[in-house]
Amino acid sequence: MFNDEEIELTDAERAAFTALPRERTPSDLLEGRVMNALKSRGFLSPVSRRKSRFAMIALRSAAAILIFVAGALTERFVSDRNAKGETAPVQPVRTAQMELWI
Amino acid sequence: MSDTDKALIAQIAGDGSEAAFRELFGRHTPRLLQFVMRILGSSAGDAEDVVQETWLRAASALKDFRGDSSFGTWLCGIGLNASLEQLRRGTRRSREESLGDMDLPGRSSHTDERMDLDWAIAKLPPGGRSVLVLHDVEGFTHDEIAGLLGIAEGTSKAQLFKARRTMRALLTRQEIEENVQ
Repeated sequence: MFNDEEIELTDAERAAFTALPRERTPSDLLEGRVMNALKSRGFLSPVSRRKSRFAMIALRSAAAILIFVAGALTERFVSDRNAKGETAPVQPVRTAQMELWI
Repeated sequence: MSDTDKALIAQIAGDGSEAAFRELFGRHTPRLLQFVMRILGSSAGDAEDVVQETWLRAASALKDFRGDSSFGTWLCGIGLNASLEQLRRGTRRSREESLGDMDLPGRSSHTDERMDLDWAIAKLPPGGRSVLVLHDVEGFTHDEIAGLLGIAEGTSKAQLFKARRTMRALLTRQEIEENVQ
């Protein structure tokens, strides 16, 4: 049906094919169209939602650290007070109250 | 596949990162658009519709991308299928109308051999054009083309033969007409 010689490209044709541009700049609108279509189908997370998710994680982490530090400080304060005997006067008062009730 | 592509794909698959997708889009769309335009033999406007469809399909199949080939090649494969479906549906404007809109030069106004060649490729029948673009422009083998287009290898060779013959005739006729003018 056809022979190989006839089907072969000439050097000039080969060079012309090689010189063809491989890329073409798309219109400015195309990127926006594609992004909107992808978002509407749920393929992409909107930036704002992602940012707010990160902000929420950061806020929760900060709150957890704050609670931990506050707990540690409270525990230290109570320990210090116990060590200095600041709770000692409580005992006589309680004893006195019990005596009154009896 | 480049490490950058791999990292971008991981980000998109992980949390649907829009920034990563925009980066991937910017890297691969110019090549995809040029490829789709040649397969369709059509204007940039028509080709951009197919490019959009290609990205939508690619996004939904991104998790299945194994990286056996480069991301660009994988994407062009999806673009090829989308283009062929578009041609089969016949929803694009007639070839003559499209050629009128193309920013390729007219036969009498060309000044650049590359433009002549793109003009001649666009004038080929869709089947032969697909094979010629894949073989002579993109460098695929007949075996690969047969797999991509779902045809026999011999059919790919025959289509290429006819396409080259038609292309030569178009370019020769164009040359003669120019000399007459």
